[in-house]
Amino acid sequence: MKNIFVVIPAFNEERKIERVLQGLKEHGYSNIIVVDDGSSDNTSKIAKKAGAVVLRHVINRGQGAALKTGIDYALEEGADIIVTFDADGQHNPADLAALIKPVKSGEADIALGSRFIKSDSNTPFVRKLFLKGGAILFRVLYGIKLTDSHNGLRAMNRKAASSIEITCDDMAHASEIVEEVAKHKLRYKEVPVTITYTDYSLSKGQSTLNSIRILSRMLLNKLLK
Amino acid sequence: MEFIQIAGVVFALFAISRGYLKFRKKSLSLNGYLAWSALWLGVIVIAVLPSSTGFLAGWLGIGRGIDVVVYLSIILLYYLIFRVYLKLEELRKDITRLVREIAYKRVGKKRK
Repeated sequence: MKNIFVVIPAFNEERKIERVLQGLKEHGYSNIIVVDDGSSDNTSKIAKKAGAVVLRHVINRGQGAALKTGIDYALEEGADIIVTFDADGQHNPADLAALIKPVKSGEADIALGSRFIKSDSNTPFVRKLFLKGGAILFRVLYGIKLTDSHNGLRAMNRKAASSIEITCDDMAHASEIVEEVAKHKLRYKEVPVTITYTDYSLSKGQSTLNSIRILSRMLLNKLLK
Repeated sequence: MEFIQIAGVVFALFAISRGYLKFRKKSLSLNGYLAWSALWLGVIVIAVLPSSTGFLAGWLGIGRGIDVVVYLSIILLYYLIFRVYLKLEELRKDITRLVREIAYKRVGKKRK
């Protein structure tokens, strides 16, 4: 189990993507798939130059759709472990080794990053409130015990990657992944990771309003199923 | 006949004729055209004979005939909105699948 692929969904990330790819390479990850989700800037060009395989969506379809594009491609390429990583520089490549470990050893099918296990979290208060609220909901709706609810850093084996069906194109995919973990009874584990909040990553991340939209979507999905 | 009744009949005939043109151009199926025409024929009946709704109202236990029409219209509208919502979701998924396939094609990989 050595074939590790990193999937990075990216939308207008020309300012950060090169640094992110460099960081991953410095830590020894060379199979990198960037899914350019219809960016209007030079994200594709820069990512290609930095040595990543670039899959380009001709129309912006949302992060969930981009993740699925990347994950399916990595499976096809024979990946044993697939890592999902954000393009905006908020994740630390140094966290990957610990994240991959339980998947590699067979202890878990999917490892989910959590910013709340280590107490040195610098998460803004309102965001923390929503993320924690999300975690409580996961517990109630799906019986999955997590401390963080919307972390883009994950590592999964082939079994998890091929059984998790991402149908939500937008940000609601993060909740959908948790739902799928419950549905397919995948073994999961949370691993502490650090999130670097910058004005840049905050502006690109979830707005509080959007969390409310995701919640209503989650409930609607639950009702329609 | 009141003006509103005439206006209702004229508009219903207009709607049916539009539907027929669409049907001729094959952008509306026969079933779609029949359903559309039935709906507007109903409007004509109600416009010409408003008291005809009284029978339906009595049967359903609703006070006035006009209320039946309003209630049924709202229910029909909600149902149609729901159908459009489902259709949109389906289209959204189809577009994503297309976009994904184009992405794979461009990177030069054959997929099953």
